[in-house]
Amino acid sequence: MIADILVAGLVFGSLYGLVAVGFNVLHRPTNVVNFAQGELIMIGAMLMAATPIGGLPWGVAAACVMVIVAVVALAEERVAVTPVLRRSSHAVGWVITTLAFSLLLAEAAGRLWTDQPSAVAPPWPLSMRVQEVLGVRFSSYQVAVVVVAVAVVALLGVLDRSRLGTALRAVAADRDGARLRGIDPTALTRRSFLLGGALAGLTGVLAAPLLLASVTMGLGLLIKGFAALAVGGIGDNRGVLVAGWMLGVIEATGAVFASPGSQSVVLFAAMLLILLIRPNGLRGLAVQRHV
Amino acid sequence: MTTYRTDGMSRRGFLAGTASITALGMLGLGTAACGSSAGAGKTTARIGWVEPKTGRLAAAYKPIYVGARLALEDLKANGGLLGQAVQVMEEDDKGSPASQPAVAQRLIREEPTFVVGPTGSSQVLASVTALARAKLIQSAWGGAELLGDGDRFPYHYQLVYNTTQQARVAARFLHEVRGLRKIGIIVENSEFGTSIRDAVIATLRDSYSAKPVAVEVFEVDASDMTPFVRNLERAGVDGLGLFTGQPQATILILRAMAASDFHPVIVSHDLNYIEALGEFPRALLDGFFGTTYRGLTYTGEEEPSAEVRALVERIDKHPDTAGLGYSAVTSPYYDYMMLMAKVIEETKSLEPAKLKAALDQVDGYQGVRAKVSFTAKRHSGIADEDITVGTLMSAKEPQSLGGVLRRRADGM
Amino acid sequence: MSEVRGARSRAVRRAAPWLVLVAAAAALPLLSGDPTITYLATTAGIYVLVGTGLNLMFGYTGQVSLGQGALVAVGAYTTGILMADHAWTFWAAAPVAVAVAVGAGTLMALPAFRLSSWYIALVTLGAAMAARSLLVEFEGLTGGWSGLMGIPRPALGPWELGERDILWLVLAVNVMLFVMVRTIVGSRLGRGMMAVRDAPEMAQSVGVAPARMKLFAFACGGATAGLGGALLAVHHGLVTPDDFTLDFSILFLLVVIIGGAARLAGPVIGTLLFFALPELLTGLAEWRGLIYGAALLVLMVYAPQGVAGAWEKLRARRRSSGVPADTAHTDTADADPGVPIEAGPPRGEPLGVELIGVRKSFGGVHALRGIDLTIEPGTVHAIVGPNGSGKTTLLNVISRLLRQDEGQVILDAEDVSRAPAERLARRGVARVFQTPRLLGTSSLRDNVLLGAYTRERSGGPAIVLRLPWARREQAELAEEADRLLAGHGLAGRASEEAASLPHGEQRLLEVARALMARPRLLLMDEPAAGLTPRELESLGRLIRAIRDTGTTVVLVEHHIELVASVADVVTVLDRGRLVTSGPPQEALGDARVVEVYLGAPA
Repeated sequence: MIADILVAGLVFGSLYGLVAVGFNVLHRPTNVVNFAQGELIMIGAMLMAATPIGGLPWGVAAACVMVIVAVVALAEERVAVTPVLRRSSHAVGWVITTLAFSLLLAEAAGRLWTDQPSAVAPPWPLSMRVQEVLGVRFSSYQVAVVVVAVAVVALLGVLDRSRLGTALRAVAADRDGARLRGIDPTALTRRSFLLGGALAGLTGVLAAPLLLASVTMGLGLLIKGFAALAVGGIGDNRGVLVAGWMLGVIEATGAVFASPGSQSVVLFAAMLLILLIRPNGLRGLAVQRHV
Repeated sequence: MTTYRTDGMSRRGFLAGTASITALGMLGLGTAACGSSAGAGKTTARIGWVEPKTGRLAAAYKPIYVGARLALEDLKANGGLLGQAVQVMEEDDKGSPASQPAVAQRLIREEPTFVVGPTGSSQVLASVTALARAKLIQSAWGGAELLGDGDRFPYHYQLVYNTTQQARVAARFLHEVRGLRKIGIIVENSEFGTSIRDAVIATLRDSYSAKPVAVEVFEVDASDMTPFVRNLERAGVDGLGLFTGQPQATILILRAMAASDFHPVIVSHDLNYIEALGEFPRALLDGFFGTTYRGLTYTGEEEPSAEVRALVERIDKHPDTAGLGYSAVTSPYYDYMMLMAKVIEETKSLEPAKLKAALDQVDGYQGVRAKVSFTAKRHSGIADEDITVGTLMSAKEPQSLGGVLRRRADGM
Repeated sequence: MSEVRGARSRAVRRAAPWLVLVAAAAALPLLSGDPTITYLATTAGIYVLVGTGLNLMFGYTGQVSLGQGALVAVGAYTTGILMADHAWTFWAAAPVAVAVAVGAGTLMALPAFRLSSWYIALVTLGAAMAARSLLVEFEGLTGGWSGLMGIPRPALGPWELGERDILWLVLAVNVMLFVMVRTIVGSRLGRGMMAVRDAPEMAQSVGVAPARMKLFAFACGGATAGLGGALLAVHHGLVTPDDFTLDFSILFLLVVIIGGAARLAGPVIGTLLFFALPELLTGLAEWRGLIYGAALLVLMVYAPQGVAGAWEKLRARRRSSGVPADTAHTDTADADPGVPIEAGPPRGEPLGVELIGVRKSFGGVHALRGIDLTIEPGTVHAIVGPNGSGKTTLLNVISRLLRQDEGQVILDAEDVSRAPAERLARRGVARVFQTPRLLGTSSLRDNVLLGAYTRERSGGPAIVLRLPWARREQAELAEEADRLLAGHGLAGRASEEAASLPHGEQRLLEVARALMARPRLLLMDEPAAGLTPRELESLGRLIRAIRDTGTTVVLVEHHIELVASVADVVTVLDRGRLVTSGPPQEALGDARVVEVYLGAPA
């Protein structure tokens, strides 16, 4: 049973971690936590299941979805984020604008699709068929999801050490100051939204076989992603992935041992406890800003 | 007294000024809007209509109202109600219980002859409570037993089986018809899920002196159903009541079952066949049943009525159906509209009080799905004998008329 | 006499729009027989109530809450349980609901002491989700998913309130709350809140305890949410868990931000625009969702400070285009800043400081490596040294914004090694920061008044109830602040926004705020940076004058000429160590000091 809990925890935790990593990518240059992330992921998953794209070979379909969601994210950046940041980089208007954008996405999805969930088959040679190895039961697709999540975090780590990463950090610390040093924050923001959108698309693609693609899937992922972000520490990709795993395991444990009502209480208590012990996230690396 | 703050404050004063002007303008606008609608007079028969129009699930609700729209076409073709043109007052409840009080207030203002909707257990409870004092005849799609209590909600008429009826049929099917003794229950954590769980447990206890061997409740947004299914499996469940309004939860539960070759007999409350079911082994799906209305089922010998067949044909053609013909045909709204039209013709009145008196006398009205009877006390109208169990996979049979009707399970 | 009448008529003019709004809302049920309007007006009134509380929390104190809906639920359920199951009257149940919600709000605030604002948002979100599932879990008490039904209307003896009466009740509560919030915002409490929001360290340095302020703000938010919940319960007659979704919580944040955070009218405008208006415009049906989203987007992009903020800006622009912009400015520039101090004498004897073996390191960087230093009371004590020598760290340790790793800090014979900064402020320590930390959106007068935070004697209740002595005290302090502003060449600009001042004058404002505290010890961090020679000269005079009134001055400064001219004692630091300490000529002439500044000769 413990093995079951760990498998479920790692697999779904990887998804939560990926959601949170998406928050991080967008947060870096903008200090914005994107409330529309959940709906972006939903769009990704729904597109994967929708007819024109669903018919293509998996790799092509996934690439298409990532591009489309990236473009949607770019549209969000154009209409909902940059105009707000241009006026004042410290205002909280983005809470409202990203929320509004997520409303628009949900509204559009409500018109396009019904609430019927669609199953999406995993790509060959992976499958959802459960195998038992040394008493642990898992499917090859589940392994792949965890591997992809780790790979994404590792790749972002490499990106972080590049010149782009340095520029991103400069913009994060001081958007207006970076401009003086010849860094164009708007261009960086645009790139981050493209990347974050593609990541949201990828998360949707990955989640579709596991959770089924449905128009209602966004909110749940958004909230779990928030939790992973809070526990892992804003800005710390490795931290949020580990936090995602922890949340996944706590959730799976709760499903086995606790009543459904107390599950979210347990989850919340765990989150609070971790935050009180480590106010800057699990690894304590979160950027502390003091003027 | 010093005058030191005046500068800063006059600005606020102006601010307040605009606020109040905006507010007054809006309020005036609102009052004007009401004035016009209230002053429209009584030359048309109004029907209140609560349907989610906005939000994530807007499209999902459309098929449920197809029957009502077809009935509306019929009414209009027959020259309206008592010769008066029919005017539908559509109200958007966003599919949310929280918006019901406001919707109810608007309905009260519109003074319709009767109200169609809302849909969804929690939404209905909120709506019916908010309308209780208004004496508006209403039928909504909510299964709570409370909603059929004529003393409590004298103007609400339930044209769907309630959770207790549904639980009784499910328990009878599993325990009596299939002779299963290790019955398990899995439900979502919602008003619907918890009330039907309690009803199944009560039925097993009262009618069969039995107890479920496992009861699982999952969060509506749970991402992994494996632990719950494993609990059922460990308990040795051979007959399962599966009740959720979330189609994806059903799929995820089936998937967890398929993963460990666990194939109990399942009674659900939704027999929509959706594409996502294609991935499962036939053995699992053949054991999947659902409660439904006798009028919508067929057997080797028994064919559905000509009326049902005609309705199914129209439903299939309607653009809003979007492949969910089963939802459309099980919806109570077609039967409700037709019943109202009949009652109005018979009483020759659009007065809610007179209509209520007539509705309380309805006995054995044959709707397309089931027989309907009301008394002043009992507003839960569906006859027990017209609730039955159908098979899921019959959706693939030609007799299902394009997947809308279902084969009755053997022994029901 | 005529001035009094003028003020009074202005007050009337100020209040008039509000009175009209309230009167119009109250007259609604009489004018229109339509129950929808009454219903909507009541609901909107309750939302304004909750929004106003959140405005205090978020707008003024900067504490984001995505859990306000859960607090409303707590209030509504408490009322529902007491009234429906235990037959309490509304008048008894509502205060209990408020108390319980305050408790819940305070609980929610606990993480706020350790976490920054957006973590708090996530925590409150989690709290809201957990609260909602608890509502379902305690089925016996709360009725589970079906909720509580049959909550009676409030009654006065045998007379049960109707729908109209509830609207009037809600309006009356709103008016009372509005007046209270207005008073709070204009008082030291409000200034303390805004200081916590804008510059937490500055807040501490003037004596505001951020933890207590946040707690107070959350308690206020909890109280209004609880009261709103109580009213909502009797307004609807039922409460169910489905009433309190995430959307419900977010609505309040939306209403506050869209209306204009930290503006009194904000929640009112926000509620009318994004709750009442969409409810009234039902004709748009399917397009409503899209229009709603798009309207939010457009509004926020073009009015980032909310509707109220945009309006203020518009008016400010219109006013400044009417009057030549710089008249006030040139006036003050010509004024002679030679008589700087208009504040009263220090609150007591000058304070001395003694540091014993103080060490502080950040990660691997040793900022202070064992400093022993005595600062004599009544002197100007300058601390100099090259960049990175630990000067500002030392100042932060003295003012307690940083806690040393080792060693002791003695303030006037009292060991304050573990005391928080706000306690020092209460003992008469004031601080001028290197980069000005001001309440940017507040007036100059309010910024100076913030300095008197610890001097004001009237407590919270006295301020909220506008008791005569509290009002008298406030008026006196305001006059003193105006005198101080005049003394710093800022006369006549007391009502301007601090953020609109040029940098140099912002520093003067900082000094004025520090002097408003009538400090016994003044800590100044590089006050001379960026000043013109003329300003430098008057700064020197000012520092000496401050010392002469009996205040110890500790000065961290790069500008050696200024130090030489004003300091009684100079301490030189290098790489966290004390190089020398003594009279200026002696210390600055020291060979080691020359070496520190010019590099080692060999």
